[in-house]
Amino acid sequence: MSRIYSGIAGGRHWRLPALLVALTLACSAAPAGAAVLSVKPSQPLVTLLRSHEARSGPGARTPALDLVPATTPITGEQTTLPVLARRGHWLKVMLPGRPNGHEGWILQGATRSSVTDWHIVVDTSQRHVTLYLAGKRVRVLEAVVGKPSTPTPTGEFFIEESVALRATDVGAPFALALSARSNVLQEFDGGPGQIALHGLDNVGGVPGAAVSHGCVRLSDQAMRWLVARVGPGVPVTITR
Amino acid sequence: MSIFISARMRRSRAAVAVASLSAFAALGAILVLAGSSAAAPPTAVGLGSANDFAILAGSGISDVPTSSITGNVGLDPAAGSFITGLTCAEVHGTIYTNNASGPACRRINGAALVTVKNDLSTAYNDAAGRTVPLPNVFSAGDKQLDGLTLAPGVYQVGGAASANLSTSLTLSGSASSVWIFQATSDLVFGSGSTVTMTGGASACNVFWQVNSSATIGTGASISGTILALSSITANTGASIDGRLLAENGLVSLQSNTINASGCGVAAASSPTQQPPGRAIYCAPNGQTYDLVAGEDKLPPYDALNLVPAHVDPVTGSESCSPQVVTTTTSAATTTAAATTTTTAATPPPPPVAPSPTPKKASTPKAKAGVKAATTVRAKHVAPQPAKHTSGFTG
Repeated sequence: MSRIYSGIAGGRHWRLPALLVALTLACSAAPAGAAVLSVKPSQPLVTLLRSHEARSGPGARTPALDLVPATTPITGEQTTLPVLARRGHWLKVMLPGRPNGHEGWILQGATRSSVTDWHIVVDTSQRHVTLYLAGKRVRVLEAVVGKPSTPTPTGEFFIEESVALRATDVGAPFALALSARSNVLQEFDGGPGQIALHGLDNVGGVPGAAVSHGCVRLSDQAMRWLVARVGPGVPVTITR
Repeated sequence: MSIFISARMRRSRAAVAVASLSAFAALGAILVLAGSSAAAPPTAVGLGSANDFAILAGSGISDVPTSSITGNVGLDPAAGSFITGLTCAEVHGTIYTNNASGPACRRINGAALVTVKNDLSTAYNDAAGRTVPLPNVFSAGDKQLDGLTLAPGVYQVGGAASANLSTSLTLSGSASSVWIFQATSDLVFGSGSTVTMTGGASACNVFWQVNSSATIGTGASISGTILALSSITANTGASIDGRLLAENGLVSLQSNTINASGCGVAAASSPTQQPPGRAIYCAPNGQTYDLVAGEDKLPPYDALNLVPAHVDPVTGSESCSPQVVTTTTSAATTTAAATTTTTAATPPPPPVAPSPTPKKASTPKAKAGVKAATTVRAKHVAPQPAKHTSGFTG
């Protein structure tokens, strides 16, 4: 079972995928706070009904990379992954954990397909979290992002799990655990340095500041709004 | 030091005796200014928000009981779980951590700790950047400070094989006098060594800037604030009238007394005065609620949009100032022209479709560019309780 993939323990060494989400950054031309960002109107997802072997290519003879569990490490819910490409019965999917943004191919069998119209963009420079629905920007939330020594990692990620935290937990009331891991902290508080969007309870911070250890903190009100709408598989783009 | 300067001035004046009268007068004026400048006492190192902390560390704090600490204790960026051996009863102040681990009486305030550690870094750089007059640079070796009585000033020590101070050092001055010691490497106070203040001088105005780590020997009695780049070790029974502030490493204690109470530190308070788990919350209208932590999620408080109060990193006081109850977010939900507006005094508008207790996630229908009706839209499940430790980076 050494090849079992675990979001907690981190992942294997795959390269950043060719991004399905087309990004057009025009930060330099746009006025501050008005960066033009184009996201795809929808994102195919796949939910695993059993554990899947992820391979480096769309074929059974390609090297096996990891075993992707059917359930997530924190809540035990079914694993949902963004689909980047499709070839025959094979699906190219994004995978959580280290290295950030890695991907693999899984068989389509024993999966359930769906689509999400939501897309989250985190701008660490502006310290904003922007919600897109069907490619249209619908809400902008001010956020706490990572401080310079422990920056929020940038790249293409997705929501791995939607977690209801206990009132005494750091980041309560909710956390949207991302596929991203800190590039600085390999381990944090017994976890894998996992990046999350979470609340301010028991941790504090004023939205708009860069003071976190890498996580993105939002007001409790904003988190309640978010978790009622988005969930596992929703793509998250983090830019600088 | 003054003797040296006077001699130098005499030599300089002799050297210019052959010059013209006007040139002599000009040079004499310059030398007087130079002499005054060299004799100018240093100003204190500003600690900022770190002032109220008796102990600060970066990677951990350990203690072999029983120690007595008067002043706050803080650890960052390491998690509170790296505070070991230290009990709440030993600390007359507040223990700050950046997460929900560590001593039971801890107060979680990662943001404040970042500020405090930044201020510590600033103070360290300030002390390290002070100019040391040449006569105040001690030759490398042991016992550099033994038996000395030093006037206020900036001094440089270092290069000791065993101890920079093995007997006693006296710092003589007034209440406003300042001493800054720069240790170019490790700083070691030998066992039983003492640093004594006389003439009304205050330990609060003594700063030991250590380029590496500091060690305080068994039974030593030290005055001043140690600003160490790495770690600080206090051996058994050592007492410090001041602070132990380690920027990056460990602070290790063994039945020590660390007392920062005379340095503007808030009066010592019993950690039990603030019941664990209780916190101040703020409503958008500024109303303050003193609740058991997390009770803001329960009726009737869940409808009040409460946010945690701002915790002053220096005094530990909690307040509902406008900037902390501010949340952003003004956004249009029907157009793509959403904007972000930060409102300092006006509470933000309620969110779209507020859901105090999110249940089943609703997936709004896309209006444009949506695929055929056969496409299954993801129905995002409601947040689930954690079955395993999350360990987010926070």
